[in-house]
This record gives sequence, C-alpha cells and structure tokens, in this order.
Amino acid sequence: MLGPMRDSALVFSVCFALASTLLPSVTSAQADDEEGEQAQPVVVPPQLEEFVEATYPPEAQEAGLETTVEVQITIAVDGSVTDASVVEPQGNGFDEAALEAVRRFRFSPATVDGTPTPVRIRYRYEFTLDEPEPEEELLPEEEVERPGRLEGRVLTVEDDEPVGGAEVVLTNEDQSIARRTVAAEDGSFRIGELPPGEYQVRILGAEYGDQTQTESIGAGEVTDVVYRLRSAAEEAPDDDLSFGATAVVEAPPREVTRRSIGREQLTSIPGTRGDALRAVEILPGVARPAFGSGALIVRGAAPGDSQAFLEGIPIPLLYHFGGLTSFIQSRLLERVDFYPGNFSVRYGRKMGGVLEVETRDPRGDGLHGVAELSVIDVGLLAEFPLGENATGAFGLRRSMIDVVFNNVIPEDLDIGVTQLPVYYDWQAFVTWRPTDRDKVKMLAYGSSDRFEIFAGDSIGDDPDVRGDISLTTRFNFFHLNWTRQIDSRSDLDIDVQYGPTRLNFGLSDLIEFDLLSQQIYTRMEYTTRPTSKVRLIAGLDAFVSPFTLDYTGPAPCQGEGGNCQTDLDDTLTPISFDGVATRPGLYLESAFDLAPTRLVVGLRTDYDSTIDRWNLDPRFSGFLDVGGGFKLKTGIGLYSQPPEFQESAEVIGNPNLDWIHSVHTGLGVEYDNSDLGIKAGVEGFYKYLWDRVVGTDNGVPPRFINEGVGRIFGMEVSFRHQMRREIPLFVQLSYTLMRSERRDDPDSDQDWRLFDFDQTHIFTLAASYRLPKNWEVGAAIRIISGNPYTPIVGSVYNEDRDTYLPLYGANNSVRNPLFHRVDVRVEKKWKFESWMLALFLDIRNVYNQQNQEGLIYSNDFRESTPLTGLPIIPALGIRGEL
Amino acid sequence: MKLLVRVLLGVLALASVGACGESPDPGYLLKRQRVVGAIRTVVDEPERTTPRPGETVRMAWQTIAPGVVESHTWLILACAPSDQAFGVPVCGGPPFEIFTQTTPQDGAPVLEIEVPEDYEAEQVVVLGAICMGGIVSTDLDPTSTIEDLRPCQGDEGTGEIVAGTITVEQRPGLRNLRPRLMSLSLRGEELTETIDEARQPCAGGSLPEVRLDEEAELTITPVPDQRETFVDPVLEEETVEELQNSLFVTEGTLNRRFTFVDEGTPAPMVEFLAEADADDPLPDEGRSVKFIVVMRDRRGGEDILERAFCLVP
Repeated sequence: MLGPMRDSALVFSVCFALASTLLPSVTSAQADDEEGEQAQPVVVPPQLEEFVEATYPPEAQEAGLETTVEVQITIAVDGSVTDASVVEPQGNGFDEAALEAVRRFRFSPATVDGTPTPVRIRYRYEFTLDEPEPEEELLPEEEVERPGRLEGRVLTVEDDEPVGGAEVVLTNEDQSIARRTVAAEDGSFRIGELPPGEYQVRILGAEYGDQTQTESIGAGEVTDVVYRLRSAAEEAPDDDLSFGATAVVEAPPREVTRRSIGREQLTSIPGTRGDALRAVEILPGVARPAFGSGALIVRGAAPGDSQAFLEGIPIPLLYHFGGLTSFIQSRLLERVDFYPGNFSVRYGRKMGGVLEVETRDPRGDGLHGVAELSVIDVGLLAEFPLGENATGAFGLRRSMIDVVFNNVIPEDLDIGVTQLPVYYDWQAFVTWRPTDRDKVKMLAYGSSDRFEIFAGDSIGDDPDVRGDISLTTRFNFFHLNWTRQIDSRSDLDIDVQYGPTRLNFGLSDLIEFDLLSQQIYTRMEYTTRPTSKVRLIAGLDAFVSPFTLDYTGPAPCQGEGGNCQTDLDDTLTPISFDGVATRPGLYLESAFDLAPTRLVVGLRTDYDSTIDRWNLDPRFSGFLDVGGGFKLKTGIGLYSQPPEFQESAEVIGNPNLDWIHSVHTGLGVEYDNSDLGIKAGVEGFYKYLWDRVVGTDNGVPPRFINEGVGRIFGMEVSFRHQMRREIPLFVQLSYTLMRSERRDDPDSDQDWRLFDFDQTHIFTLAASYRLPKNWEVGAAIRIISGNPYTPIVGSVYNEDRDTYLPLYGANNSVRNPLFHRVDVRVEKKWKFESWMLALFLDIRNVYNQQNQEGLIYSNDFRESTPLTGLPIIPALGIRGEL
Repeated sequence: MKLLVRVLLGVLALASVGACGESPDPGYLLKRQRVVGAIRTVVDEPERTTPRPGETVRMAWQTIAPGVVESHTWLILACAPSDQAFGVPVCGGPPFEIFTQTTPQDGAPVLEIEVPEDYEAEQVVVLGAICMGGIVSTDLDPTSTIEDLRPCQGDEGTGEIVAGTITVEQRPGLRNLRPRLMSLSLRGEELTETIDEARQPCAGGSLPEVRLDEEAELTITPVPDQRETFVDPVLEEETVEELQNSLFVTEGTLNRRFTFVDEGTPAPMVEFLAEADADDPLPDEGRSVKFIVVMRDRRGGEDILERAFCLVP
C-alpha cells in the first residue's frame, strides 16, 4: 500500500549566490571598510522554518514514480519566498507540485553582518514513496478513520482580495498545535492528513488582524472554507482604524440566483442616502417603484408577491411612510441577499422574490459609536463588549421631516397639521457565545410612523377627503436566535420572534382601518451532512398572529389591472374581525455535491388557516462548474402564496379562495473571478401564474375569484467589479429585458394585457471610486421604461355627490415616457487617532429630470397635465464614528 | 390597503403639485357649461324628495355656464339598480322609463319619473347623456354598460354622461325633505342680483365690487333648522344631516371647493381672491363674476342659488 512522501527523506542542500539586486548592500559594506583593511562580512544563510508538504501528483503516485526537483528560490528580507523556478523540469506534475509547495515556505532570512538580506538559493525537493506496509487484516471500511483535509482561501472582507502569507494554525482541543501552514499568494491553503475531529483554526493575518474559527473535519472529507479578514488600514500608512477581523464562511449555493451586496457597498450607493435596503434597486430584476415608494417589484411580480426577511423572519413594513427610509440603521447590517426567483424551500408563501437582510455581530474590541445628522433624519449607534463572550449594540433614529414639512406644503392648500410626519426606529442587539458550539443572538427592534392632518372642509375635488386624515404604523419585536453545532456533521438553528404591530389609517368618518396584532414567528432548521457529498435540511417555520381588525370604508377590490373604481362614498357597514391567523410550513431539502455538478432538491408544504387549505411546492436547482470560473445554473419549481386577507375574509371577500400558484424556470451562466474581483452573469427566466385572485365586475358576489393567469419572461445581465486595493473602483451594471402580462378572464377572448408594473427595459449603472486622502465619489445612472397606465377616455358625472367617475380605456394600453435619472454621492472622511468624521452629499436626480409618473386630471377628467416624480433632492449630512 | 395608498398618494400628489409645475383648473372654476345637480321633488308633495311606489317624482337637472346657457338635448333612462358594490351605476335590468329630447330646448331636462306600483328596490338609478349646444347621441343600448355612451353627435356642443339616484321611500326611515338655501353674502352683505353672462363690464354699476388682490369673504346661509335626523345606513345609528355646498365661480380662486353646514358651522364661509394675471388683464371697467352654490343633503335633497358681483382693479 503506497504511502505519502516522507519528510525525513528530504535532502536539504543550499547553494546560494547573491542576486544582482543584493550586491549594493555588500558593496557598501565593503566600501565602509575601504580605508582600512577590508573585513570579511559575516554571512548567515537562511534557515527553513516552515516546511510545506507538496501534493504528490496522483498519476505519478499511482505509477510509482519518484524524483527530485531542484528549485531556485528567492528569499526576501522577511524570510518569505518571493520567487521560485524549476532548474531542470522533471515532468509528471512534480515540477508544479514542488513550486506550489516551496512558494509557501517560510525561512529565517539570510543576514550579512547581522542585516537581513535577500538571497537566492537552490533547494532540492525529493518526491519519494514509502515502502508498502506489510499486509494486515483489513478492517471494515467504516471502522477505519480516514484522514480529512482542510483547504480554502483567506480573503479580505472589503474586496475579496487574497491575503497571501496569512498564517493558518490548527490547534487540538487541548490547545496543542496540530498543524500550521501559510496561505499562498492567491490566499489558498491546504492542510491534509488531519485526523477527524474538531479543531480550532486561527488565521493570523498580520495587519488584517486575526480570527478564530472552529472547524469539524470529517473522516475522508474535504472541508472547503473561505475566511475573510478585515483590513485594519487603508492606503495611507497613518490610517489606523482597526476594527478587528471578521471571518465569513460561505455556504454553497441553494438558490439558482443570489445577488448580494456586502457591507462596504450597502451604505455608499449614490442616490440611496446611505440606505442599505435601497441598494437593492441597482440589482437586475428589480423594477423601479413610482415616486421612489420603496415597493419591492421583482421580475414582473406585484409588490405583495415578494417578501423581505430580517434574519429569516418576515418584515411587516420595510420603509417608513411607504418609502422614505428603511426601518433599520444600515450600519447594523452585514449583507443584503436578493433572490429574484427560484429561491430555496426555506422561503415560502410568496411567488415573487426574496430579500434576506443579515445583521452583523456587534464589535467587541472596545466602545464604538456613530452619530449622523442629515436633512432627513438624525441617528445614533453604539457598540460595545459585554464581558468575554458577548457584544452588544444599540441604535436610535428620528426623522427631521417635521422640521421642513411646513415649507414644502403649497400656501393655497389650506390644511392644518395636527401631527407632523415623524418616524422613529430603534435597535438593540446582543450576540453571545456561551460555548464554542453555541451562538445566541438577541435582536430587539421597532419602528413608528405618525402623521395627522386636518383637512377641514375638504381638500381637492372630492367632498369626502376632509376632516382628519391620519396614519400610524408601529411595530416592536423581540427576536431570539440560537445556533448550535451538534456535532461535526450537524447543526441546529432556531429562531423565535414575538411582538405587537399596529396599523391605523383614518379619513374622516368614511374610512377607518385599525389593525392590532401580536405576531409570533418561529423557525427551526436542522442541517446534517451524512457524507461530504450530501447535505440534508429539515425545517419548520410557523406564523401565528392573533389579531383584531376594525374596518369602515368602501368594499375592497382588486386594484391591479384597473378593475377597481371604488368611490369613497361606497361605504360598507363597519366590520370587526377577531381571530388568529395561522400559517405553518414544513420543508425538506437535499443537496448533492457531485463535482462538477451540484443538485438541490426541495419540497415545501404550507397551510393557511384563513382559507383552510394546504399547499405543496417541489423545487429543483442545478449547478455545473465548467471551469475557468464559469458556472451553468438552472432551476424549476412551484411557488405559491395565499390570497390577501381582504380577498378571503368573510363579508368583504371570498373565503372559498384557493392558493395562488406559479412555476419559476431559470437558466443562466455565471462567471466569477475573485482574483480580478469580477462577477458577471446572464440569465433567462420564465414564470407562469395561475389561480390568480381577480375581482368580479364592480364587486358583485363572490367579489373575488381564482381565475386570473399571468406570464413573465425575460433576461437579466449583470456585471460587478468589487473595490480592490489595486483598483479602488466599485461598479455594478444591471440590465433587464422583460415582459410581464396578465389575463383576468382566460375563458373569454380577452387578450393578454400589460401588468401594472411592467418595465420592458431596466438599465442601471452604479459606480464608486475611492480617491486618495479619503475621498469617495460615486454616481448611479438609471434608464427605465415608463410604467404602463390605463388611459381615461371619458367620465360620468355622479350627481349624488357632485363628483366625476372616470371611464377607462384599454387596460395599461399607454406607457409613461422613458424614465432617466442620475444620482451622485461625494464623501470625505477625516481620520483621527481614535475617531473619524465624515461629510457627505448625496444628490438624487442631479439634473432635476421631470420624469412623468402619471397624469393629473381636472375634476371632470377632460384635461390632464403630467404628474412628475421627485425633483432634485440633495441630502447633506455629517457623521462621526468612534 | 390599496385605497389607503391611493388616498395617501393623492394627498401627497396634491401637496407636491405646487412644486411640480402646472396643475389642472380646480373644480370650482366654471369655464364651460356643465351639469351641477338635479333637484328632486315629489309631484304631490314638493318638499319631499323620496317618492313611494306609485308616486311621480320630478327630477329637474341644473346646468350653469359662464355665459348664456345654451340649449339642451338629452337621452335619459330610469331603471332599477344592479347589485354591484362600486363603480359607475348601471341598470340591473331594462329601464322602466326613457326620456328623449333630440330637438334643442332652452331649459335643462326636467323629468317626471313615475315609480311603478310594484317597485321593490330602495333606489331608482337615473342615467343618460345631456348634450348642451348640440344634438344628443341616441346610438346606445340602454341595458349596456355606460362606457359605450357618447353624449353628443359629431363635434357640436358639450356633452355630459350623467348618473344619479332617487331614493324610494320603501319604509319611513328613508323619507327625506329637501333643504333650502336662504342667501349668499359678500362681506356680510347679501348678494341679490344675477346676471346672464359673466366677464361683462360692471364697474360703477349695481353689483357689489371686489378689488383685485383683495380677499373677500363669501357666506352661504341655509334656511335655519332644516338639518334632519335620520338613521345612517352605514353606521346604523342616528345621525343629523350635514349639508354639502358645492361652490363655483367664473374667475378668481376659492380656498375651498366644498363647504359643509354642520353643528358647529351653521353658515359656512369661503374666501375669494382674484390676483392679477398678465395673460388675462382686468380692464378698468371690471368684469362681472358669477358665484353659484349647490347645496346637497347627500340623501337626494338639493337646492341651488346663483348670484353675481363685480371684480374691479
């Protein structure tokens, strides 16, 4: 039985010669002594301190070949290998294996008269095979513990740049050092022949800081990891803001398409005022919401078909006042992952896309803080250690809209403001690691929006828009997450969240909507890896919400598609709902790693108590690594969601509705070159929807029916360049070509019509460049097809109220003109010893383009003028960081 | 939730209109002849607006114009309502009355609708087309949806598709009396005169005067103590009527399109202001202004009053 190459058989021979670049130091030493007798320099050769095993070429090993490779190595003054070349090639893969190993050697540097000196040496690397061991009784395979291997890469957090030379040290449970190696220039490392078990891995990245992780090595398995370290300093050597190192271990993909925005880009996209969730707008597949409302419109799906999650828990309201600012401070976020379709069974009850927001662990290397003031809001954030194993963070923010509101209301609009628009949000996070296997995260957060005006004897041309108009939204949640590594193959992740939610809207006596609910959400996910090629996941997520809803107002109707001409005077008798909404879901997923392919198969089932029905969604995705950084991907699956509450509730809806279904298909290719910091991709998609809920004509009973269908198809192109040390430029280019159509009555001869949010072309180009002296500039360009709308071709005079009701033409038969806008951002930082000051200017719509979002009609709908979107909005702000 | 968003966007859009360029003319600015209401009176009891089955109700449509009111033609039908929850009123079956006037007539339509003896619905839907200064189109199917109606034939005249309802007194709780306007006042002084045509020279004449750039208070005074108590069908509780006043002027601005008569406001006021306009300069001899109020009790009862004053530099 062949064994690995033996260290002891290596022959170490040194033959050194001074390279031409080394001569001056010796010459100067000689010159110093020119006047007197010429002294001989004392030269100490380099000593090998860190030996690295080469990988025996498999074919040569199988053929029983042995050889010696002579390598010329250049050693720098710090003992690292800066160059290596084979003197006489031996072939059979030996040369490459030898070079790959020696480039990771570490030496004590050569010295001349005590001064470290670069040198070039010859080194002979012997490849020899052990004598076969005597035959012994072969044990059953399962009783032989085959060694495992740990391999991967060490990269920087900011720009995925390799951290060459980072030391990787494995220690046993008794803290004795098991193995040690040094990452190559490309950040890669490999530690083989590891007995199965658990190890502490310390990554020592010099100026990148260090980090410790716990890894489990399985018998005969390869554990593939990526460690990311944060650079402690940037361009100028006197920048010294060490925030400590973080490491992120990437899990292999479960979704066909995942697009992520990392922490560094989250707060620097032009036009977003540093709002991380707004950064999603630059990704392919995301349509533009009108008036910057913040609605999430993904691949032609309605806003209500997509969902944002915070740590796996659905978020009730993403933005304050429907689109102004997101509900959470962006600096508490680690990453935003966006799945435009074909997402895993982990997410259910939605047919559109998924936005997963991940928070970061608060820093524990001392007290840190941020204070920020802009024309939109003011915010404070603090992070601090809590003992040895825990860290905490607290944030608070308040809007400044009330300060400027009165200045933007036209003078001839005679309204009284009872409560100026104001929002608050707050966050309190604690991360605790009670043991090496456990991590506990406690997140408490909340949001509040309030606005109330008194319109007196009506405003505008509707006699019923008068009196008090008020809006209140409020939620406060407590979320507990526990992650436990059960053993080397399995872990468990449990989330529980609880909190009250209030949504209240009032319009005089005509509309009163008051919803009060207690939301309880839980998720449990068990992951196991029986072999290195198989991963199994079983999960449960459940949403339970006792609620009370009091409603006075017109009958709800299906607004999308124009089949809703509710008049404010069409008021129903007040209705109260009191109940418990229950939506449990179960999911199973299997991932098979059959390199170069990877297959993911999943099944999800959900129940909805409002309609008392179950649903089953199978899903599949596949990946093929074709090499050279290219990967093919495909996916197909069923995605279903229940009707909206008002569509299925008794009295106002149809309780006999069924789930709405869709099938997602996707096919694409990705290119990933982390060395260059480039990611690119092209993807085609097709979705078909059926059992869509549509309203009956003029709301006649049963009011809503599952008879609509839809189809969405298109293509997305994306290109990203990460900001890197060599090229401090971030670029994200996205282009989507798409068509989204609906039919509300497929049994009739009705043609396909455009979806309300169909945007044929969506082009976005965002770029940021880091200049010297801590300047950063950026711009974002958006060119997007206008939204379709239904023209008004006439009107009916409603004599009962003295108003006009519009008469509509063909649904969505006209488009608004092309939308285009440029946003710019400039930021300057001043870095001091222990703190930093930043001044930023974020200008949205820098050339004040008057993009048409719709039409404003005269009260009789005979005349119209364009309704333009938001004008130029400069946001000047200042931020201090401790 | 969608209606909530629509109203909010409407409020925000209204608030932003001032900063977002030109806006359409407000609804109170009378620039063309238009329909503004219909006065319902039971033939044998003119103070009542709610006929019982077998009774005849007179529905007198009201039109106003900045100048001389042009002739009218019309095609209007009366029918039982459909069971829709919202939208443009449509018939639930064939009409029981059709009124046609294809020869131009000076006055606006006055219809006498006889409610059938066996009528069971609580409302009669009245819908049709009125063409002013032209000939009404008769190319319609009365049982079809109203979207197919064309008010006027060809390009002559100004047409309106109109819809309204008449409450049928199937039970005593539905009974309604007609409200009456008492007077319109300018700066506390009652306005007494009417004019045929606005924008005529008037300075130094009998009309009270308002100066350019001067805010003037107009007061709408209904006949006192006529707000009825009834059971609100939505809230299912006793409620006192609010009287909605729709306001119209032929030029200038009003700070309100509607005012309401309620417990705290027995005689609501509105502010009139006319500012200098380089595109439409005010001559030294001034211009006459029509001021019209249509009052509704929102249960079928209406009244209308028209007066005038003079705008001077």
